[in-house]
Amino acid sequence: MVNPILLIALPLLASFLIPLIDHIKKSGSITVLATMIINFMIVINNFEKILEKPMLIEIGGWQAPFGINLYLGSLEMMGIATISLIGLILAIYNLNHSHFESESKFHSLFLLIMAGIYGIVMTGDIFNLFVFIEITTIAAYGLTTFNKEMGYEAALKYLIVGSISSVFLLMAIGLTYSAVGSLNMAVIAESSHLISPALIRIITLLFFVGIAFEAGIFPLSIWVPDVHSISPSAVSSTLSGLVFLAGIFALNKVFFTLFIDPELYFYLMLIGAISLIIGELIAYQQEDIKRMLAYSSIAQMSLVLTIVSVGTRYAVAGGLFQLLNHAVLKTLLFLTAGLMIKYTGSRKISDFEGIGKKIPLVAIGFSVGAMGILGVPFFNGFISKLMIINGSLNAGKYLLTFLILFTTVVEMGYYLKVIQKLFFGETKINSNKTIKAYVPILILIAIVFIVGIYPDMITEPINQAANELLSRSNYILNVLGGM
Amino acid sequence: MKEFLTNWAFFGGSILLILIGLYGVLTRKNLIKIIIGLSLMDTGVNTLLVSLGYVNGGKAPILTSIVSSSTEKFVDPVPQALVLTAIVIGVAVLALALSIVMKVYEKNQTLDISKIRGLKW
Repeated sequence: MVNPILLIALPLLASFLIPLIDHIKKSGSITVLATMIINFMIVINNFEKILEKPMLIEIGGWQAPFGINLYLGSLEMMGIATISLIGLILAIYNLNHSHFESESKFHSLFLLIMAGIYGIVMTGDIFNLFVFIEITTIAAYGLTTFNKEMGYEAALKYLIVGSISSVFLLMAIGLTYSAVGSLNMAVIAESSHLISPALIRIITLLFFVGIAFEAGIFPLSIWVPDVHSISPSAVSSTLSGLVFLAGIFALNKVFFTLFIDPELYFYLMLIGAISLIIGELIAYQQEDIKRMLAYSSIAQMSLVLTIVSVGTRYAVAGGLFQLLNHAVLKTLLFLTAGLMIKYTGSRKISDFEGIGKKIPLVAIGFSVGAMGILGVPFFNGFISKLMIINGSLNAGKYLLTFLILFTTVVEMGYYLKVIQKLFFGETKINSNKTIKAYVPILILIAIVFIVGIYPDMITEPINQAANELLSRSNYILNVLGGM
Repeated sequence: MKEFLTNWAFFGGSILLILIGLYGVLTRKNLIKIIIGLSLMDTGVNTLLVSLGYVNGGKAPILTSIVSSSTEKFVDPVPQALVLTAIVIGVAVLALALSIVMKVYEKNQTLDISKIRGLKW
């Protein structure tokens, strides 16, 4: 058995070694690839064991309530398995597509953001959560500036929103500590019924403002379209696929493990539904392909938040499955969109007319991603959309079901518009640039179809993860043990 | 009155500081002033954390030859440790923000956000 703490420690170490190694020999992208391969092996090594029994990792040998601990149940395991897989694919992509002026800095920051994401998903301590969120966002500010066109402005916008919400997150942590006297999530969960309901409302609101920024939920998502459309493709994929995933995991921790208050779920659902409608409608109007994908990400995250806050086991499982699928699909979409932008030299959807004949694999990759998001049968999004709709119907939320179906229609409108542009019409572009990204695109397409055709291998652990998320007493027992 | 002040001045003061900072961030047009607002918010939340761990009449939580018994009143050391971390993070973000502002100024020759394309919202 390999200790999963290496998942965080290795990228951090490699991230700070890259500037040193790069002085001697240019090897940043190789280091990133090696780190992500080792991480992926660690995940495979631990996968079966953790699905059987959740694992508690006590850092420095201090027992759970006194020291900082990491917690790995099947929920967290599904998260880090997806993160490792996407991280590995992005590392392969970066081998050919990271020729910036300061390449070593790019790779260093990329590993830093990966370390932060692993930390957010695994940590069992709320202040530790804050530190990992800050690591992730600071690395993301840096990565956004790699575009010379508008990178600095987008990064500044991101930074201002991020700093404000980190202040709210810190306030929430302070108030929680003063009410409970501990920073450990299990201890807080155990004694959260002793806190007065009014204080819980304030704390959860502050937590929501602090973390929803990370997850791209509507009122705090004003930075998303700028940052996602400006940053390099690999960064857009990381931000949209993985940082959002980590944000939703953190929100789940707060609203299902730390404080449970059934009335709060209604408000969460309301915010999610509003965010869903707004995201889809704005995405429909976009002409810039990356902005369209960014708004679509906001909408998808809101869909996950909405359906998870329904709170029944089936709905939660559907939401989590959609979250993992979204990470794979958005990586595919952002990578292919980035390649199309590189090929045509334009971001406008109308300029992509007919390029499917010139670069077929990229266009097919984009179409597969879009079909997956829409939930066409035999694509991975189909099962998760089915579970979501089934879950909301079983819980008796008919209005919500209608809303989800309606937004899927809107989604279909703007994705099919792009696909139709790609394959029909004559292209005016005579670019002879060659595209060197067949391996990552083929791997991603393969994952989409494998999960779509054999969904059982994902749905079983996902159901287990949903059970785990909904049973906080087990979480408390696992962390605090015989205390 | 005095009792009220000793109990609530710290909380009220730090929350006031956060609100002043937030007001500054939301209303100012100058980038440097916006960043001063962010810095004020950071300071506010740090003082809030310290005051949450304050015990009236408590001493610094360090055992020395003068303060040797643990039965004396101590202030809570955990929030102070949190504040140390938060200050470090705050400084890092501040430095990053100022360097990005420098780059934006080099490109646009202005610090007014209403005149910089890509910073309007």
